[in-house]
Amino acid sequence: MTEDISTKPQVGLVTDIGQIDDGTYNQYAYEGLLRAADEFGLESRVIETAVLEEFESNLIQLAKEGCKLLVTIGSRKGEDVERLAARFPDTHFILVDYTPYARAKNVTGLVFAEDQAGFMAGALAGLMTASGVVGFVGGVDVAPVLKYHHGFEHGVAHTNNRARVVHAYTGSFTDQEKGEAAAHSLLDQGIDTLFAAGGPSGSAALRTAAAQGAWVVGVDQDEWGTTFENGSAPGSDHLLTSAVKRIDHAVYTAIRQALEGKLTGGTLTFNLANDGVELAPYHDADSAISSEIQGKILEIRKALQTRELDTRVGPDGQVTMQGFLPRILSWNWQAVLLPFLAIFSALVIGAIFIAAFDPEVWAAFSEGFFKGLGASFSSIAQAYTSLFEGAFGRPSKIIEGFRIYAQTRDDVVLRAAIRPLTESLRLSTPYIFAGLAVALGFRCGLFNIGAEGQYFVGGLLAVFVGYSIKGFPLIIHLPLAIIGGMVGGALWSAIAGWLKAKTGAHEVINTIMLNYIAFRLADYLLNVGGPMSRPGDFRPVSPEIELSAYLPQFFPNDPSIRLNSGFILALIAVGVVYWFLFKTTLGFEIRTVGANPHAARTAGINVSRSFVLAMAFSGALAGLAGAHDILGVLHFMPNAFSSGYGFDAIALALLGKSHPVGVLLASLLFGFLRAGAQRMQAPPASVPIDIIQIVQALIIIFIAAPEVVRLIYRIRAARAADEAVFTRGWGST
Amino acid sequence: MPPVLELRGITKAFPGVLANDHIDLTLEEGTVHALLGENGAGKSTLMNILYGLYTPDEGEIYIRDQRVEIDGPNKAISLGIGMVHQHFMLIPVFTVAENVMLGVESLRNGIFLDPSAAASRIGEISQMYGLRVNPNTYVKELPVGIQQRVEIIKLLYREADILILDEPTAVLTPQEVEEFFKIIRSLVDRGKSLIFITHKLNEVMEIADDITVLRGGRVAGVTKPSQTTQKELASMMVGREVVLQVDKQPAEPGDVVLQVENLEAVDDRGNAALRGVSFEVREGEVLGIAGVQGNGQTELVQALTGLRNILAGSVHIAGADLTNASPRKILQQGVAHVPEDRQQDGLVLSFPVSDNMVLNTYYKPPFARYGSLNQKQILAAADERAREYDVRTPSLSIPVSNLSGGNQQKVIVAREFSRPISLLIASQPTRGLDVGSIEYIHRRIIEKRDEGTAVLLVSSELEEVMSLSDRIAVMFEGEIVDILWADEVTREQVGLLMAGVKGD
Ligand SMILES: Nc1ncnc2c1ncn2[C@@H]1O[C@H](COP(=O)(O)OP(=O)(O)OP(=O)(O)O)[C@@H](O)[C@H]1O
Ligand SMILES: [Mg+2]
Repeated sequence: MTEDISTKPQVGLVTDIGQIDDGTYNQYAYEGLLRAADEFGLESRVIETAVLEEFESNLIQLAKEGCKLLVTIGSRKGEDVERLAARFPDTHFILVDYTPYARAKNVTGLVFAEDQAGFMAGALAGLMTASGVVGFVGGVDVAPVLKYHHGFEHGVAHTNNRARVVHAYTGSFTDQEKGEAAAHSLLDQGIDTLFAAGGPSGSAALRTAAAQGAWVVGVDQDEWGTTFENGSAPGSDHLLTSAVKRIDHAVYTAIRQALEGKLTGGTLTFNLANDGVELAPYHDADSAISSEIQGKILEIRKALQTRELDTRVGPDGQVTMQGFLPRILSWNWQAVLLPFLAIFSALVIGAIFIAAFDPEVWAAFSEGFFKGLGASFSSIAQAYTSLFEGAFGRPSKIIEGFRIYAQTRDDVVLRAAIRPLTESLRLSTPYIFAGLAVALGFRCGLFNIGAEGQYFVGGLLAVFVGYSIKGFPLIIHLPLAIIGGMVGGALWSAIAGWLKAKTGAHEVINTIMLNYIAFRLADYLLNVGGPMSRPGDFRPVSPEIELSAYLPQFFPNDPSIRLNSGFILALIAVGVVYWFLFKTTLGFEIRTVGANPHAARTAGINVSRSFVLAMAFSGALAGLAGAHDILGVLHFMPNAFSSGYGFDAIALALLGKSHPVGVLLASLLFGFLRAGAQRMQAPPASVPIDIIQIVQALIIIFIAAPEVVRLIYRIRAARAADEAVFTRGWGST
Repeated sequence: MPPVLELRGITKAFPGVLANDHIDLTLEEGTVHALLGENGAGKSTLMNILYGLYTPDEGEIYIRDQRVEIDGPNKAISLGIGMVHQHFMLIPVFTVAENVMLGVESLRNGIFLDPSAAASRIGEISQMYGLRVNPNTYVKELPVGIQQRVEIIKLLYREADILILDEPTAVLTPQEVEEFFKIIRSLVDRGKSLIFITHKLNEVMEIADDITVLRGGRVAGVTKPSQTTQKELASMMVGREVVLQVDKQPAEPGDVVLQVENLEAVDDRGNAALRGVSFEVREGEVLGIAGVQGNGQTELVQALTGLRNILAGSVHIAGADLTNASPRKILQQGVAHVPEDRQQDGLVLSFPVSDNMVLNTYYKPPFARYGSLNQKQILAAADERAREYDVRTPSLSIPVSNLSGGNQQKVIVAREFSRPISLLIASQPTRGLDVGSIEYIHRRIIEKRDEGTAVLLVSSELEEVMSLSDRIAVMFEGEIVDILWADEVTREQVGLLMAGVKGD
């Protein structure tokens, strides 16, 4: 050797336990190391760990001697190595079969796609089995073994959907007797093909099964060369192949990357695509495997490689779902299901009320039970059909409308058909604004009961700007009027926020009081002769706003369709509130104050300011609801302006879990229900509108108390982590 | 006699962590079984399984050789299992009696709550086990030590005979610990069996009959106090040698950073808590405040950090007058604050780990620009801090409440230590931490000191104050009775001063 040894960069290997010719992990890691050392001119150092207790000190020794790269097997002591790595920042630790926990820059774990190797083994087993029963023996159910196992199962199912897979775990990687016993028990269940992943314990199972004439598949390395001693051991002709993990290749690759400066910690995955796993040659079984089967396996290999085919096994060996439907199912379906069931239950109970309050049903019951029952059903069906048609329109009519429109460009029928739908959306619009208002308050820990009053004041200011300013174009006048609404609501609610911040007065009381003040203020301003009343009119209404302050309609030529651009504004508001809450520093502060005011204060957040700000924003949104109803629908302000949005808004925020998108969905639901209810009220159904309020109330109860729904439908709660008990009292500061 | 409780092969995985991995544990009747382990070793998880809060993925539970399924706390209670959680679960605005009877209310005429019946039972229980407490006071008015008694009474009220105590001593003063041990002994004398989780090895040696050590979710060892040493336990827990002694060079104090003069403040109830406190902390030194809890330390820290109104006196930090300045102004002056009550003041439990890592710097670049947050930067910084401070979490986006208690503390330490600071105010910085992490945090504090940071350390652990401080100020009844050089004073001297006995 010409080069001075001491100048060569050093790479080291410490066996986890055992010698470097153990025929498995340590040996292959060593081979990879040797190859890299050879190729890149490195000095390699090796310590064979005799007892586990010396493992760490061996690593320390090499690290201290200046090894820049240290390779070892991580499955047993990976965590300790990680801890050690913190003390030797200049040494890069490469751990075979281990996923680092803390992702340090000098710890790299090498993991393998055992599931792919297992899948191919399974595919082959599925094609080879004659009895239709194949077996798997595992050592301990750690991630790599689980990956082999489930990959194998899915591989079998892929090529032979009638085959059954039975399995047994020996609970050990070393106990050969248990391996033999496992093989016997599976043979008793009729297997004729066996795959084992369990170290020497598993190999013993393979030997046993092969001796009984079953096909066997080895694991980790080509067991033809090890367990079956290069074909000289009995049963080697029954070894189909082995699912091989190329540890040597992985170690070599990792070292190469390190030298190229590309190794920066984390995990490297080795799979079919980068030659990390594969199937071993068929050896003595080659002639028994038809070329057709061999071709199929090649196809599957390619499909796996290109990810066209998925093993449906996760990184921890768990079975994952695939395809659209399962993915949806594996989604947090309870979150979707519970509201749905709540709505459904509420409608069912509502149905009882509908029947119970229908005089015709009573009359029918007096003639006989079944007559009564029939009448109940027709009454309920009648009512809910109206509800549906009132909310969405009649589907047949909509289709008809489209047909006529397509043929004649005449949209009269179509417009009439979609009128209910547009009306639902229009009714949803103020709900969205008001719901967002309350939700935003909730996020800051504030209970804004005053949305109703803010809606009023917003309306007042919007209408004032709408009629008093004249001669401006729409592009200026409309925004001014909208801003007027926002400012009105914001000022009104900020009063409550300010009182809370300064004096600690509870916002619930203050906003309720402010509601009354707002109602009386409107009385004063709008009553005949009041400062904002319409001159010469005997009703307590404001003047009409200027045309230039109208929110543009979607169908300007058809005044019966009242849906206007306010709906678009509401959708924008949903986006803006989301952005504000979750993407801005102010939103962060508000959420922090809402979630833990103590921590917020300690972290230097101005809690008072957050209260005032959140209240003001909340009020601005409620004011927008008022502005929408004035500028988009009524175009003037009557004294009896209230429609209870402010109170429904609390329900909406609760239903939507104070999330903007949740509020949007809840608002649409309420809008559709309200629109439907109006139709339901009319003949032929003639159901009192109160029924819908009952249904709405029931929905809220069921959503607020999911346990009730769970109980009715026997859904087990997803055991969330935080079943914490609330220790913070309501209203405590 | 069969063991009163046996856990076999308990396994529980959370997304990304195997919190319990085939754990076996045997509790003999009438004994104290200590459960030791690093932060995040899975102790609380195991106990939550036993108490029915979590369902195990695998494993069996036997009570007196009977296999049982514990599917909820109610089941656990009916089997005689009771648990005091690491973080208390009392309702502050209820009285002691109301808290105790919650869930098992005694009723008068089958309708009305009967607090007096409860109160008399509480009286009996207190009598029998030496758990003195007035049933009619509100919980929020009780010091933590007494709140703990309430928790224990709650269990006895429900007739538990297997008691799980999750880090009961973490929040207690040394005196309270003494009291607490007396209670434990009287419980054992009456045949109760206890599982006792702690990080304090001396306590284990004193009170335990058996010891199980967990590490990384597995049983790392089972032993007895008579067969082991503290050092051995420590290395069993952490998996390596632990230096129990802090190793530091003499301080090289520089300019005065924190100057406190004649500070006066009142506590929450309006009683004088600080009566003219004066001291200074210099660059590169650690001033430790020793004192029995409740002698004004909490109020002192709050006054310094802008969280409590200062009635008289002044606070200067790096020359700037920060008397009654806002918390943010003080933080911006380069003050780091590790608050005493991490769950109340240090963290927003429902927020992700990442947001908690920037709880007081979220508004600064690179985390925010023009008022809009940059989640990428926040995550990147959080990731770096989590690694550097060895915060063990499967992901940065899970709520911080899912972390083990010790790891929650590390989140705060990571946050406070990783910004440029000139003054570190640390209250009980290692409360609830395992020995390995304590060693680590002590090292970081000394490192900060050596970088020239002034450190004000408040701790009810005399040991901690003694080993970290360069000077020690002893507080008693709202006054600093003496300031001593740490290397010239003994434990006993400090202890006497803490008890209000003035030396001459
Ligand atoms: N609900 C949960 N969801 C996800 N992970 C969790 C949850 N609860 C605990 N963990 C994780 O499980 C592991 C064990 O936590 P556990 O609370 O049992 O630790 P511990 O031994 O009690 O620690 P400490 O001494 O710090 O209290 C930790 O890594 C923790 O992050
Ligand atoms: Mg714990």
